[in-house]
Amino acid sequence: MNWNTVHEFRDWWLKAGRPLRPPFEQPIFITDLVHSLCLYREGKFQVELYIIGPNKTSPSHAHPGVDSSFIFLAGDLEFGDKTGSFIDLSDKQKPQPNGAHMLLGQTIDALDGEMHSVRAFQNGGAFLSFEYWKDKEPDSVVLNWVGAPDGAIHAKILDK
Amino acid sequence: MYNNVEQFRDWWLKAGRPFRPPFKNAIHTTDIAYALCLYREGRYQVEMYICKPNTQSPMHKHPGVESVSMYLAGHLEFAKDNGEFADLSAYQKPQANGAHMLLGKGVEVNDGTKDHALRIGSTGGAFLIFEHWKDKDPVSVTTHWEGELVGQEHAKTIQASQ
Repeated sequence: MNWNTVHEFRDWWLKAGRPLRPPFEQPIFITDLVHSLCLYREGKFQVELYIIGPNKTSPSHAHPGVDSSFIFLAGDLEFGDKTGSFIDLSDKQKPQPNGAHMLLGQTIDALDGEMHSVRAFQNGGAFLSFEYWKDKEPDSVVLNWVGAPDGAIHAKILDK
Repeated sequence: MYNNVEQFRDWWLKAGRPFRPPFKNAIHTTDIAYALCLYREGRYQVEMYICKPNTQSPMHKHPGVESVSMYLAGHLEFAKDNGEFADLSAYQKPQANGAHMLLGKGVEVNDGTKDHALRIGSTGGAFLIFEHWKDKDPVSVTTHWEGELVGQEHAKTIQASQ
């Protein structure tokens, strides 16, 4: 496939029927904050699904050399911007008529390793992370991390 | 559109694997896994489980829920109602396209009366479980659980759902 940007990859994956092809090597990462699964990886592009436990917040962090585009899936999740401020989405914590979350499908980017963060309240949260690894082969943005780790388990993973 | 859990699974896969988690009761956590409901419609739903390495569930069942699981990634083994785990060590290798040899393989339908269990190896594991809730509206098989619990977090999640 000839994607040039993370957005081209994201749009292709959605239109192609959300192919599920986790890699054999390193598909799953567990930290104090999240459980993640790489749903699809091809060359320097991949999409990971993140589930965040209830009442958890990540420190502000960056993924150098990675263009990221996130899609909201579920829960009471908020993303923090490069200044460390969280976007208040409390008025959007309600269902659509079809039962899905009002925010389902909404996107936010962190391009070129921009700082960002994420937090979830009592319902936990889930999102898709589409990634273009410009400088090296992908593993997980949980490993390619600049900033304080999200806890002791994450710190151990980063130390390896 | 579908009359049983296998028809629902086949529909979901052919329909482009729609992701439409519900607003209510989408995410559940236990001591060994986090689960996200990817799609729910009426009495049918599909949940994705992402499991911690080197863990195991006790034998348990989900009464009134017909289910069929589909393997996604990592080192996972399912036990039948006699408690014996299928030895899948020979399949712990990649296909030519880089995916796991077991990707997309299913476990036989459980009608909700049979005990089963899950064992996860050193790489963690992930699977989909397609569910038909015959007696009530779906929540999560994590909370609709008969048998010994996985741990304290599991107990808290069940308590919170009541």
